[in-house]
Amino acid sequence: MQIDEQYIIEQATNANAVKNGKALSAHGDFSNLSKTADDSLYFADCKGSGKNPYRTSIDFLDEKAPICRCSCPSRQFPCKHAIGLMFEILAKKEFKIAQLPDDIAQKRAKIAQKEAKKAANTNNTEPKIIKKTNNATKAKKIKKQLEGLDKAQLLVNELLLHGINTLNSTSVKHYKDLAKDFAGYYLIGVQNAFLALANEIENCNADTINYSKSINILIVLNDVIQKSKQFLEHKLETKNYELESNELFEALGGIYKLEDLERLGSYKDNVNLVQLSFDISYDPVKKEYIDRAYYIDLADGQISQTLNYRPIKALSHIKADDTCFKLINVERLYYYFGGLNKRIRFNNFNLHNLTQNDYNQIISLANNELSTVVTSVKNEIKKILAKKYVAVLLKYEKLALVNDELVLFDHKQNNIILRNKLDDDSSHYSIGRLLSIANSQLCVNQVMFGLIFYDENVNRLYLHPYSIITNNQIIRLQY
Amino acid sequence: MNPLTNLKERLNYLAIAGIELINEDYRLQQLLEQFSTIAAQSPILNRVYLNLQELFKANKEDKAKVLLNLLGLVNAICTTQAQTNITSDEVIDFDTNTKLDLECNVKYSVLSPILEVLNDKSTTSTKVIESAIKSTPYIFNDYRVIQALIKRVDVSYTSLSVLSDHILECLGTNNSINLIKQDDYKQIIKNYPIKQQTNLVSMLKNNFKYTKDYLESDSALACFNLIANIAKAQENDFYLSLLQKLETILKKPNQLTFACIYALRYNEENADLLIQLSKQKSYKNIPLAALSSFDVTKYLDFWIKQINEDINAADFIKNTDNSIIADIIANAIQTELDQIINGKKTNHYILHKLLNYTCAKTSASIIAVYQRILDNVTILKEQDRSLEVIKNLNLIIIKGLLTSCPKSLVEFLQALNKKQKQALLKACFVADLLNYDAKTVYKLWAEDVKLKNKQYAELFAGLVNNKNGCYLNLSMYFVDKVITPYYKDDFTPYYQLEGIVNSPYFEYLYSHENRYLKKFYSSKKYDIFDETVSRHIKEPLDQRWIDIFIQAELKHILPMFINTDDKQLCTKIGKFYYDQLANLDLPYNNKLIKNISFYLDMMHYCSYNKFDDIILIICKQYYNFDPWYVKILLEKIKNFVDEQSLQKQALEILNYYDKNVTRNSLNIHLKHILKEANLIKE
Repeated sequence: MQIDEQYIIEQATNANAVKNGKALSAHGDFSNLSKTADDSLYFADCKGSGKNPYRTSIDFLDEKAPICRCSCPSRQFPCKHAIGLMFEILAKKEFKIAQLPDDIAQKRAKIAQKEAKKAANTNNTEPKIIKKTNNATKAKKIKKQLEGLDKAQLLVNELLLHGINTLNSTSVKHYKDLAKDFAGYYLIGVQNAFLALANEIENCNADTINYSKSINILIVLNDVIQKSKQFLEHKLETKNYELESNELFEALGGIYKLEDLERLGSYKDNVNLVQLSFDISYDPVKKEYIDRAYYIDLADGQISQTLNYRPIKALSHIKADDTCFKLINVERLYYYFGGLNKRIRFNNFNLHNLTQNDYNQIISLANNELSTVVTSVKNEIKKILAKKYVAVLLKYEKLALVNDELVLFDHKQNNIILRNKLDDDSSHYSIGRLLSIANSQLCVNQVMFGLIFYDENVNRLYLHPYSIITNNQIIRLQY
Repeated sequence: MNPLTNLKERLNYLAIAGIELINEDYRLQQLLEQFSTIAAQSPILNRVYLNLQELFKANKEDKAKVLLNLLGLVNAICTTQAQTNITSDEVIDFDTNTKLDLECNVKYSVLSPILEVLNDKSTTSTKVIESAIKSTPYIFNDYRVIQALIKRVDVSYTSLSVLSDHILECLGTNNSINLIKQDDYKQIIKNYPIKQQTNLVSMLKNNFKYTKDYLESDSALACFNLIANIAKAQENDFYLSLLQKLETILKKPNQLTFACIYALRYNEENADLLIQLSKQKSYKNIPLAALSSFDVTKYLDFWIKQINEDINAADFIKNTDNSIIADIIANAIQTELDQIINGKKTNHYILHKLLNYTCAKTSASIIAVYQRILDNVTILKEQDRSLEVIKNLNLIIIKGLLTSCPKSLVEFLQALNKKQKQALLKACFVADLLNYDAKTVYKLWAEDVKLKNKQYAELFAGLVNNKNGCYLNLSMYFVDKVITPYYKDDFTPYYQLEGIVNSPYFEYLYSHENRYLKKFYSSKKYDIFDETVSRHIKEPLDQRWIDIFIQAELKHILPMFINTDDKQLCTKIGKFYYDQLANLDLPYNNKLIKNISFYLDMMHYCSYNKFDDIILIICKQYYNFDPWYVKILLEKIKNFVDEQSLQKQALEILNYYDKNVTRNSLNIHLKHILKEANLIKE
């Protein structure tokens, strides 16, 4: 079995797992290194904190998705012992040839059975039996939600009647407690909005400028409350309890599963995607990391994003996403609902190296005129529920300095100032990086991928650059 | 102001202060009137007006909803009016002739930890970066890492800043990155090859800002030094243009100005400019330092004039052997000696300084100066008991010998009387070392060394080991006055010197916190003249010296001579350390383990692997040897012997303690410690 460090890093959930696994291997904690004759299974004992060593194994029957097993109590998957065993393989240590252990053989048999059953089901033309949920239950839930929305409205009314600045640290705490109640009304989205509001107001005590963020949260919340009420009341009236394609569902905290998206027909088959940018941010309100990658569909130039949410409580259990330098051919691409830059998800895919044609294709899909792009961006961000930034792919004639600002010019000499997005943390700052490489052919006749965002303080649109696409590479200003 | 913007402001204020104050907000009421007049202009403004009316009319329960709806509407309209264009006559285009060959093929998971460390100014530890150099060196080709390294470089001398500087210089000059590997002294320094970055200078220059604050900062100096070290003559235009800018922007010259002037030394076309600059006092001696890089004979008149005006200018052309200049220096020294010998002066500081200028000069006047000093040793000793001037003279002569080995100097040394030879012992030895073959040198000097005391032997040991010895004892003097007067540290990194890199002695000194080495590691690098030194040191060692040094028990000198290719030599030296351990004469104090560890290391380095019972032998030599020490020593040799042998020895020690150590608690403690450390099994 040939593996390299990069393969191990990709299998691990995070960098700590890699570090711990490496340490185990370096410390010589593994013994009885064994493998099957066909090289498909590696197993060994690893010293643990207890009396008896842990039994660790890696099943490479499917090399792309090895199955790691370990008798340690860790819920992390793969655990550090499995990662350590991979490092043992990498270090080309001597593994004795051994028989396939019975327990692994049984597990393999079970998996094979499952696969066979799945294959049989796929070939089965009979329609799937969709589990029906009780309509009465659904109606009850909607009524509860409506009750919650009324409560939310009351809270908003009360807050604005006396003014946001009447909130102090005690009342903010009270708000946070009240916000948690909304979970009982199936309104996680509303709960998060109030928590975000409380968070903003807490930060406001020293700096009044942040009131604008608080006000924006309230505007969105108000819009969600009004529209959701209408939407839910309509559902009750028409007794239509089926899941619909509506961004309000997610705004209220609902989560679409892949089968939901499939049922709603929100998918596309055989899609070629290229990752234009990758970044990770942290949401202090929801206490989770968000891995975000922007992709371009080589067929139609649509720019979408994947979002991988990793709550800090579950960090060791959820694998982080990473940069991808290859072309991803997706069997079935699922789309969530929303405006531009829809969220996407996919499971089964193949990777291919990017070719010259692919780069040329990306360049051909870029927008030539800044004015057109700006119009579509404005149309998007003026919607209350939309984010105040849009990812765009734009051809430029040159980058230049104007009044010490870095500015992008299109071929019609329309221009836009390049700036780091206001509410991003410093790890997202890309202007400095761009300036460090500005003195070159990168400044003329290339394509830029970035986020056009709105600064309401000065009523201007700016562009936060994320990548530059040339005819033979994507120069990432993020990751 | 735009009525919409005004309205937005008032509505925000209402949200912050409270809707209940709406009737007191006369400005909002004025806006209502204003909108009533402009409502007809467009449907959207009309809608705003209607909503605003509703806000005033709505009952208490609905006011919040109406306010937020109105704010949403106003925001949406403002968004559609958002500007992008910036107009100005001052558009500065970038120079797009540079073809930047950028790499950015490193994934987030690998890149992020490195960037986090480099971007966090409070981090000083180099562990993460060193680990990256060893395991994922390709990341240093990624432009984002290079950019972070550039930002990291400053002159605060944190180990991370120094390492960043070192990495950048290696990237720019296509050298491997050197890291000291402390856990394995066989590879004291490992070279980690990396791909040269041809765009590095361009990125460094992009990092350069032309504001007063930046140009006065340490960051600017660090950045400039990198550019100069990497690009050298290629960026001459940059140095010239920067110098002009500095003269305009800064009130008086600073370190950056000096660095800029000094960088002009890479291109001889700058000679005339440097001569002009040397007339300005504010630039101190920097132009002279730069000019000294060029062939002195081409600008001889200039140098003669300088030296006549100020003898200290000779410092810059120390290695030039010109008779006119030598005579000027000799005259100055003779004048100084007159004052000292006549008792008008007792301080030898200036004499020392002037003597340094005589290095590598071979004129008769210089030899006469040396002779006069030797003839007046008694008087000099009255003023300075330690006779620093003679020590200095030794070194200056050695330096001169190693630079060009001039015949006149050799003849002078050979003509000295016995007493004078004793004073210039080191110099005489080096002269013989360079002029005779190894066997003859041994024949001339070995008996003398054998008869004298240990310090004497150490002195010769340091010199006789061609590559290492000269460097070790003399390098700090060789590079004492390097031509970069604006640097505080005058030492070059020790590990750069040829022959040192594989010396366990270096590692030993480093781990024992030799202050010179610590200083070397953290000091800045620059040019020295070692090429001349290595040119002369060619003869292989006469192995008989080893026997003398073993006899003199020069424990800390012998490692210099270890050559792992010479098995016989290794066995000899290895056995010496074994014998030392078998007959320890070290006191039982906190340095004992350090010293024992050193001997064990040397045994292992010499592949003299008689470790089977060595710890037991050590234990037997001390009364109630501390069990903790036993554990440390057994763990020390863990990597030198197999597990079985180690356990056998541990058991033997345990048995010995059981039988011979009277304190029962010590035995129990030993057993416990050895079990815990897995040195013995149940």
